[in-house]
Amino acid sequence: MNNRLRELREARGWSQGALAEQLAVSRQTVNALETGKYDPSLPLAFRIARMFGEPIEGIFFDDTLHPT
Amino acid sequence: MAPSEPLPTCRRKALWFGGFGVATILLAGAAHALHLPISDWVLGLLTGFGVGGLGAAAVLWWLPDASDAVPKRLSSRYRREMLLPMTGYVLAVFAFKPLLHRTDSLPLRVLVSLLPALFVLGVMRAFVRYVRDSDEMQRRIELEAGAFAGLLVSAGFLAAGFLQSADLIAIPAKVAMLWVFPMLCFTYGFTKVVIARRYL
Repeated sequence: MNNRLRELREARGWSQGALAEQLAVSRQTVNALETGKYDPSLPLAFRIARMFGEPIEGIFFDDTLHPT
Repeated sequence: MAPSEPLPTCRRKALWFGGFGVATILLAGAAHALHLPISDWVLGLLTGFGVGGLGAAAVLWWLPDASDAVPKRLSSRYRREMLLPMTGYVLAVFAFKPLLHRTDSLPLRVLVSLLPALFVLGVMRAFVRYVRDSDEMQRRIELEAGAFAGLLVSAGFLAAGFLQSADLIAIPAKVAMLWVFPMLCFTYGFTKVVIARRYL
């Protein structure tokens, strides 16, 4: 699954550590989410979406439908 | 020459564990070579600590930095909750044999024999609380590592059981049973390194 997490985080000038703290996850988890190595659970995806004020599908994409 | 970067905390810890492991193995080797009056049990214990220290060093060296993987509050609580049962376990391992010689009462002998295992329950409690309060990806890493370690260790013991049935090896049942849990912990350390590094 691809996502715009890094782009959204950098647009706000947040470090991975700062985002991790707000989401109550580790920095390693934020890094794995941004690099697409880990797909979040639905509750975490909702938390991320709420934090950035975007719908889930505006942040996460199915890469089989939208290959990069 | 550019100044070299300081080692991450986990790698500094790895060096300490590695040094401890090498020192205890050398000590056991020297005691054996010089025929010092040390029982086989203590020699085995020293070797076990040595191998454990080297294993912990290897795991700490290759694992992603713990400060990146776990919030400080959680790792502090884990260390705090682990300290007492772990200390109790080490003391009980040293004390249970001498204590057994001091009593003939069957219930007391059972209690004393189970003392190290009771402390392991405290270690397990600390670990379970740590896993349950980790974030979802870390929990997945821990659970996958535990599952693979369980499979590998049980397959290893199964293979050893067949070899023993064929009279190709002869491991006393006492030793085999005592080593299940340490082997599981040891293997879990290595499976965790492999799995955690997939998410880097």
